[in-house]
Amino acid sequence: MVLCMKLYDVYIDEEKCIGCGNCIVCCPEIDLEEIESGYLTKMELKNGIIAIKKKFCTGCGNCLKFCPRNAITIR
Amino acid sequence: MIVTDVVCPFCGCLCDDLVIEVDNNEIKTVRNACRLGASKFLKHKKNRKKKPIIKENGEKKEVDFDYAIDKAVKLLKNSTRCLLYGFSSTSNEAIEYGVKIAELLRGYIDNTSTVCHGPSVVSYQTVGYPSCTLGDVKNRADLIIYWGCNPLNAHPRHLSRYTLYPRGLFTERGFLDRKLIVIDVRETDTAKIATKFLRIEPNKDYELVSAMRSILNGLDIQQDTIAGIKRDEIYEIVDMMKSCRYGVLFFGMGLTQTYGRDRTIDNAISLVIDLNRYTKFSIMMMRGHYNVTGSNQVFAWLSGFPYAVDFTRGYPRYNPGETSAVDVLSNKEVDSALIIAADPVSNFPKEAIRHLLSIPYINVDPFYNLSSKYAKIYIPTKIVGVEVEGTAYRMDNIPIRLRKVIENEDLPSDEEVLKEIYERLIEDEIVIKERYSI
Repeated sequence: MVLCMKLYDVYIDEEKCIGCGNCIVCCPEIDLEEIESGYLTKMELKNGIIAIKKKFCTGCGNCLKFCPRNAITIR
Repeated sequence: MIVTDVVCPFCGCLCDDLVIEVDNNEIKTVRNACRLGASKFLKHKKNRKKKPIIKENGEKKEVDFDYAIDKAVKLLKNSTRCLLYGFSSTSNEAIEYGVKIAELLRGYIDNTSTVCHGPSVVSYQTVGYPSCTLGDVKNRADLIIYWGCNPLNAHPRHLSRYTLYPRGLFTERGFLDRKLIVIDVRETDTAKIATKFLRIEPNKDYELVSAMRSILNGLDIQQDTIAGIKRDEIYEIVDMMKSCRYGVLFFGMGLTQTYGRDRTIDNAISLVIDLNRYTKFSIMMMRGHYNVTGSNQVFAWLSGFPYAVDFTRGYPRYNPGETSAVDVLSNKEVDSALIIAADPVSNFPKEAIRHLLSIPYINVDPFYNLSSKYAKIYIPTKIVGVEVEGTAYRMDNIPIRLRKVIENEDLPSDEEVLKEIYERLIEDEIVIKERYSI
């Protein structure tokens, strides 16, 4: 049986984002090794704002809970 | 070219995992930095000057570095009492020369902690400083308390790198293994994500700390509310503190600059000492400028005192309230000043600014700020951590070497300017000795 998981789109409001990186470190889809190496493949902090590099979101909502500026939308 | 492991020279976090893309000596992208840190790299050309500016006969003119330093040396040499102030946004190497100049000229030297964590520094001289490193916090702490500070605005990556979110050795599940308590007068961005938020009445911090200590020491609280917080909530917080495996109390200006000042911090440190009877607990200051901790450290190595040092008698004295920058300016005790990497005109009290503007002063700063505008001599320098290397202390007193990212051939560094001033003053040491009849 093949289990298919729906992937969601994550949108960042660049005006609101302060680049604290809370969403990256609380995301269960991003590995600890990736965070510690500083080279992230799914989302990253680029020029002080969170940038999404590829579609990976399972819609758990952790990032929404811990974003201090409500800058994240998941659709 | 990609420069890796760059250290961010903005706040006391000194994040050391930045990756910067440089093309033809221009910074293109900054990865892993928060918005504040990224702007320091991306907008490093804003408010910069290429030549020193001297004010003569009411007119400003651009001069070369040799002439500006010569004028600065003459100004310092001819003054009776000088004040050296700033040092929180420069390297330890430059601070060292600052202290040497102050000692040679028998002046006052102070850093920005005088208007910041000065009372905290006085407190840890009184009752000690049971602290830890941020590495300890990341790997061990399961209870984080932020009191009177809002790191998500002032130190945006503090939570994601060191305190609430990182997955450490004994906190493998990251934020799931931790609790966050925020105590503040308003609901800040940090308070919004806290497990427990206590809204305290302004200037009532001492009462709340005392109430917590009373509970820890086996006494009961009689009042229904203390500092605007219900008795049950205080008991709940104390239980959380006692039952954690390792707690850390981070405090900022909200605790330091309330009524009581150093006495409030004495009490907070004593609370942490009391908590260590039940569990492991530490306390740490949230330092603002990236090397304000370094300026305290270097002052202490060289003079024995962390800030507000008075060399006027030929040996170092220390009495905050009498020898700090604000006091010597307000009391009109100095007739010249050397301001390094700071902007006192924008944030000192009115009386102090009034006297500062009435005396000739030299400003050595990478950026042309409000203090530079009113300076008699302004000397531009390289930005430490962007255009020149240097050493800085993180908020947990860990020294970190800052890296150079781009070249800037036009300007000298803070260290080079202060070294040059010091060496030219040494050449005229006879004049100084005659002046003080040594």
